[in-house]
Amino acid sequence: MTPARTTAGKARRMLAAVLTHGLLLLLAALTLGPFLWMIVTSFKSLAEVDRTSSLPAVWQWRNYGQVFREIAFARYYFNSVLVALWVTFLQCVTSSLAAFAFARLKWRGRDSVFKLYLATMMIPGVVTMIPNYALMVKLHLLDSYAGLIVPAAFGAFGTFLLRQFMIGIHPALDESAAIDGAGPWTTYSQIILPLVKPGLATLAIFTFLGTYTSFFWPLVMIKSDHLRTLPIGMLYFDSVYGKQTNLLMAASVMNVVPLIIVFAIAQKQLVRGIQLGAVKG
Amino acid sequence: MSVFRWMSVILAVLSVVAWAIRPPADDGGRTRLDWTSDDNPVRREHIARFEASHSDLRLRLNPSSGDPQPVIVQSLGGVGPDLFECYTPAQLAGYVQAGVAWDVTDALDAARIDMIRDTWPAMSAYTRYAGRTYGFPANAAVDVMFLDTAAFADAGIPLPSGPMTWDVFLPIAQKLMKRDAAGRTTRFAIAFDDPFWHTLLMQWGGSLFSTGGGRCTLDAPEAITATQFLHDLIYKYEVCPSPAQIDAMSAEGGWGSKGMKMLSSGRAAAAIGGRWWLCTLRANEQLKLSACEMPHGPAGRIFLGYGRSTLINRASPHREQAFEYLKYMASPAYTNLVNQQADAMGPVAKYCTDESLVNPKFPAEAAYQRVFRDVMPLGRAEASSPFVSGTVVERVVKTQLDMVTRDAKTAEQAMRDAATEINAAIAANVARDPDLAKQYDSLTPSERP
Amino acid sequence: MTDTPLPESPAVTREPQTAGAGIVAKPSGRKRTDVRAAIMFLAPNLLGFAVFTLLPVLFSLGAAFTDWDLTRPGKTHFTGLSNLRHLLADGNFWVYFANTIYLMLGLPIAIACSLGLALLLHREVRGVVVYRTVLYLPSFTAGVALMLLWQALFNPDIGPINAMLRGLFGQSFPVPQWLGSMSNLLGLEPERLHVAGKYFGIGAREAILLMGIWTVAGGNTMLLYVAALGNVPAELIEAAKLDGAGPWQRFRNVTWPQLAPTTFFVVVMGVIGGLQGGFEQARVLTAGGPAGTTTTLSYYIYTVAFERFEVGYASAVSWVMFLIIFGFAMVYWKVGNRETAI
Repeated sequence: MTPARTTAGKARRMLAAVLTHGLLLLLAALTLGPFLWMIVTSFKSLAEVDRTSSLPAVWQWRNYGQVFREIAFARYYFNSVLVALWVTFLQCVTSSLAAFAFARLKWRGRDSVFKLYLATMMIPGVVTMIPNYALMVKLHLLDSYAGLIVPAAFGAFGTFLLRQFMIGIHPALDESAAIDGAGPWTTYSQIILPLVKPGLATLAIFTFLGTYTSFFWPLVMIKSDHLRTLPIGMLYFDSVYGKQTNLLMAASVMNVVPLIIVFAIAQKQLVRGIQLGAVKG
Repeated sequence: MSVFRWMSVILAVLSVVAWAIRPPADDGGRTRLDWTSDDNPVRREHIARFEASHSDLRLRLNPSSGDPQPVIVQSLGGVGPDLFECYTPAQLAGYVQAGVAWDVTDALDAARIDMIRDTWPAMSAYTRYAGRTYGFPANAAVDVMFLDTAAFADAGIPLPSGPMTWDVFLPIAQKLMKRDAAGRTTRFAIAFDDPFWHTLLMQWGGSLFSTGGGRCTLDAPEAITATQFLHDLIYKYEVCPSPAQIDAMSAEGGWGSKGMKMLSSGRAAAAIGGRWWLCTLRANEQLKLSACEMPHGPAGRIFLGYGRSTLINRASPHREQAFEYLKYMASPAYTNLVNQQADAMGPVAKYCTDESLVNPKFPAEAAYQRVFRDVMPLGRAEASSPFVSGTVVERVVKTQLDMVTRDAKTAEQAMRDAATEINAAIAANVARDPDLAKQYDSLTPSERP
Repeated sequence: MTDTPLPESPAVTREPQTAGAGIVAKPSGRKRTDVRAAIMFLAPNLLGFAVFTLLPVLFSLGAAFTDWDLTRPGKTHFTGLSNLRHLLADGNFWVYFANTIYLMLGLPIAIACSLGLALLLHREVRGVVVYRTVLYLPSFTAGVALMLLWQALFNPDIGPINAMLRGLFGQSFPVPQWLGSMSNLLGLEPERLHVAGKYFGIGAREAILLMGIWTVAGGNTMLLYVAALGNVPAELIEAAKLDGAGPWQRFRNVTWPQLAPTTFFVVVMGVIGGLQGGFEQARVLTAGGPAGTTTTLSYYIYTVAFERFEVGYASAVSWVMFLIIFGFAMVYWKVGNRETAI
């Protein structure tokens, strides 16, 4: 390659990099803009809300305190986290057990049962919502934590996801364990589970996220104020104080912050999990 | 895995906390009554008074945004509240038909409470269904026209008073409009909320249903003319804001309904609203209010009478105790407190004295408090039908009025479409349910399509 | 619009190409069959699955043939196909179906955006993690809170979006009324399947579409594409380069076919999600209005079941929706498998 060509190549690469960064910066700004507006607005006084381009004259920290005074926001927080953690925990346990049976154990009819599992993932939530509601009535679980947690604790999705991870593990591992006299339970808990940590982490994050933001089910299940989760609480807040945009935004910020924290902690694991799952096979 | 162990510990701790902070089932030996209502601050004082006089009961407010559906669904599911609110006659029908409301006719008789005689006439529709009584009115209202005295002074127009027709008021309204240099309206003459259309409907002699509720009569000329008038107020006379203008202006904040916000932010010189607006508007010290009877249409001085009633869950294990609250509602203390709070008007007419209406903390209101009471007997409840759910009617009417107020459909077409859809729903329900069919067949021929 | 919900599943579509894994493969953990162990391991999940998924599905199928009404306890009858007949004649159903389809028009745009972003992120740019984090944020935090945020952004008079439009095009620019407007880009009339010029414009549905694209463009679909792009063999690209193919041709002829399994997967999941979507937006932002223009099938089912209490009819509608989804999935699966097999 002649020096001239190298320089031209370098210049072109520089140009490409500048263009890429420029475009990405623009898109990042478009993505972050609404978030920034939300944060800034949450600190404004009511009169300043419509002045879009300006910062608050005085940063109204008390907007946040006021949200806690107007509604049982702390309680909603607590409920959301409690329910989401329970569901996440149960999902991880039941799904990993089932996935183990589908991926590492041999039994007749295994693949047919698994296909049935898969097929049900296509059923719209509204189809099962009404009978499930009637079921909750029969079980006297309406308006209770259990009514939010139990139906969400089992899922085809988690089983499917973890099975994908478990299937990739070399069969020699549990064969040698079997030779050492390990039963299925030991194999599951000592060998397989530690190896599918990325899968469990991915499932945990998605389940937590899904439950924390879930709206449909709590909406019909929960009556009492002290059992409301955040999305339902937000809806109620909006119906009563919705025109106080600054307070609404303060509540929204507080709603989103825990998610951002979870994301910041787990993002490496999460992206790896998603892409691992995608690349596998 | 240690992660699982940690999770278990955290979950155990959280669950114990959740258990520890659960609301007590038994408040120090008192029976707890759950009351689903909107979280209006004035409720708290009622709770305090009621509990003060009933040492064995505890009343717990469960705030909701006032949709009837959750109460019905929850009550049918066995977790309904003990006491709940009813906001329209159609909701009452829904509650009774669903078997959720407790028939208190005999209990009221035993307590020697003559609800029909003592409470405002329009409120019967909120408590009585098929000859039986299911609750007690919590408050009552007939809308008047609130006036922003500063706006009238600014326009150089004396405050209107007394009965007048829309024809008389429209020229005045046009003078109340104010525009900026760019031609954008900065102040409208009249703001209103959704119930306004119901009043117009009555004032033009129209009705939602024929007598007996067998047929939706929104396709009648009276209903069409009334709806046309609503449209004209916005687009022909241009004295009322369109929904877009309301959304845009009222979003700036402040509490309460759209009409309230338009009035209290100086964007409307007058607004159609009820006495309960004062609860909110009192907080605005810049606003110098007055009020007069709202203009009326060709059918005369008829206005929508509306309010709220409190019902008891038929399946409640504490319904006898819950009835104690209804008895409290029939007392002079209750009506007096409602009047002082300005949460519309107290339910018992004879206790609504001048003294009870004027709150000493707001002496300026004394000048117009009588207006609210004088229109009360003119209030009429909106018609409802046993053959179609109020929710369906509400949704259909709202859809069609959306189109009219957004100038997307003619009033005539909208009302015809509404009537067609509601009548189709009636036919479907009657075909589906033999009991309804029997009731429907007992209507006189003129009451049916 | 919904984000691709399942992050791992291109594996499913890839499986036929790779040996040793997937549904078709038989993982051989143990020599003998472990029926008893399998039952123990499956029991918790299978029990929950049977109680909360299988049973309800069957139950709802039965309910679809009755006139079950929550407010008329004890008066439920088997009514055969009358719900279905009612549905075919129910003008609302078809309008809401059309609304649902309309709101799915954002899907191709969102997928294109995701692919575009993935192409940008796939290069060796500095700070790629930061960009990825930022772009992924909306889909990770999506929910009622962000919808309420967009409600404020869309406020026609004081919202920042219209403020920006006025800033760009002048104060008298006819800004869209967003969530309060029945206008739409196809000029569809509300309430019936008919086009009329005066409904042409930007309204509630466009607002929901915009919000949806913003939410999901940087989401799972983007991550899947980034991963898939990493799997495109570099030799293929180099070979195309040596043949003198320009960047567009390289993308069109080399990269795009390699991405087919991923594209197939995100389209399937997107359509399945889209057909049952729109509930939260309608419930939180518009109550299905104005004039029913943002009522989708799922919101309609919700109102029929929990506002009108006609549970039998709601079950019938939800089953029709399921059959539409199922039919689509089957057709697409067949076609897709044929194409991606090449």
